[in-house]
Amino acid sequence: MSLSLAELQKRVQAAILAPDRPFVDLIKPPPRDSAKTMFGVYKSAYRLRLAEFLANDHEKLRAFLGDAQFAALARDYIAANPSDQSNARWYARKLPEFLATNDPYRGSPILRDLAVLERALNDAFDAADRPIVTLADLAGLSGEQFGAARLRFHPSFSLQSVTHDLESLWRELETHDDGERNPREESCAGRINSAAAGEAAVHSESADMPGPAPEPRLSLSAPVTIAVWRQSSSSRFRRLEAEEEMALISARDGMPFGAICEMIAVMGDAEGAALRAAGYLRAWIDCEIVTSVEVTETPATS
Amino acid sequence: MGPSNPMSDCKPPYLGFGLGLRAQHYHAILSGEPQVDWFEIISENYMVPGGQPLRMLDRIAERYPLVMHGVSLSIASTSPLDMAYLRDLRGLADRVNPKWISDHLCWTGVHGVNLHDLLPVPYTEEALNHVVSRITQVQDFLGRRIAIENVSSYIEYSQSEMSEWDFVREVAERADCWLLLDVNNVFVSGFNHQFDGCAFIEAIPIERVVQFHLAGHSEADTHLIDTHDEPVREEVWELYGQALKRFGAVSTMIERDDNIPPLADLVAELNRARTIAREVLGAPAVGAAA
Repeated sequence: MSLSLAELQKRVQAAILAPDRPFVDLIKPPPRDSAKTMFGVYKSAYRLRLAEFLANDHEKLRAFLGDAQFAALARDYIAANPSDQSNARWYARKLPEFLATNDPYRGSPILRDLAVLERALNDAFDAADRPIVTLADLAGLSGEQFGAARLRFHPSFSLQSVTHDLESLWRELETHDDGERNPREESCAGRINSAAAGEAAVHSESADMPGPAPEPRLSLSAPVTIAVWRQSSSSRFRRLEAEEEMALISARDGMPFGAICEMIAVMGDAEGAALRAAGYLRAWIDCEIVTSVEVTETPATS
Repeated sequence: MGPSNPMSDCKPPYLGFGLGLRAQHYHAILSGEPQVDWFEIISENYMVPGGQPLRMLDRIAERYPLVMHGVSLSIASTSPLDMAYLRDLRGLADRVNPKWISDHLCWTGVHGVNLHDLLPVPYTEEALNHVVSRITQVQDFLGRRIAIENVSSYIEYSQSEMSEWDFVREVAERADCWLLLDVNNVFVSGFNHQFDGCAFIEAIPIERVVQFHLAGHSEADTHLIDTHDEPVREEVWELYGQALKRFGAVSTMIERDDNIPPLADLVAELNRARTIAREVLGAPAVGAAA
């Protein structure tokens, strides 16, 4: 009895996903080579393609780990995460959580931090567009209106909590990167450029290699917040000092600017608080992350 | 879509000679006037919320005709059609106004998994009915005919009841869709399965073909792999000449997805396609791009 199309697809897919199943018995004997070799084209392509998605989205993580350890990570991630995405763009989205929760990677939390930052930078790169606020847009606001103003932020803007000095690490890794972030793009090629290299990538084993080492040199005594955003088409990030972090989190959460100024006055020098708050606002606007300044009219008192 | 629309009334225009739009070439395209008549985009690369990809696409769409080429439609999959994907595809089409939309005669996964590959179908009556039904649904949803591309393949299924070219022809006729004939894929599959590429081409209905793909492939010990990382091979240029003889002036483009050279190199390669087309068809026919 002939196999249904649905059953055929189910069995072919299962054989591609299973690392140890060489081929399915549903194919004609190939004219020049074995069924194992020819079906292996699809098995290798699947793993190589997903590994390429990960490498394109995580250039810094790859540079940090080195090619061999990154290939081992890719193998582990791919085995645990068959793609459920119609677009390669989002295949790597679970990598930070994977690194944080799976051995041997969770023993080196800098990996999770680096992946979180790269994920946020990739998401900022093609986040939705919104008109941005300029300093000229604020020219007509009175002091009272400024106090009541609530800011809205660009979809590319996010805050990430990390426990490592990623700015220093990033600079160290810059030589491995061309500086231009361009997340994974799809293509319709087989993309099996080198059979030899492919086999090496697919079958690389981590067992013989030391696991990723923790980086106490870059470990911080307390979590810090990193702002990630897109400016002039490029993704950027910056570590925030405590006062700006508080101000930016509060602004993101909808606190009126006047209340933020009061908090700044409590945190530091009260006399210079208004000036510092204005400086922060100007920096945020210059970074193109403020999309609206909403002034709620306060009812007149009699 | 129904038989009330004669194909001659709505066949997409001949566009001339194009390239795949790649991010590496944005600057060269926008800062110069490369001798490229049109660009093909990979639809999924622009099915994103915003940012530079869409900004660049909008600018290039102002200057060049575009066609959309997808890799995730999975038209032959037995899983339900991904309506969210189709909505995004339609949204992108509304934005860029492509001359046509294409994808592959393949499946990419079932049961919620995407293998990100173009897997061949068994050439059976059951598969034919399934694919035809799905293309009809997609065309109804998009409100236009789509173009379906033959893929490179490395296996053939034991249960196939007909040749690939008979299957492709039947799909096109029964679903009333266009065809994107990938000349390199014909050559690669022909080598891997020992069939004559010319026989494939001769079986394809002339009036259905709206686009040719050309691309490079790699040689393994016993088979060829569709890698798109090298220039078009001599044997594929020869087959392209054969295709031109049968189909006449058809919009032609070169796909390059890896080991991507400067734009000028691809334009030079595209000029070879122009030269061959002029030799086969004569200059007036080749130069009649819309």
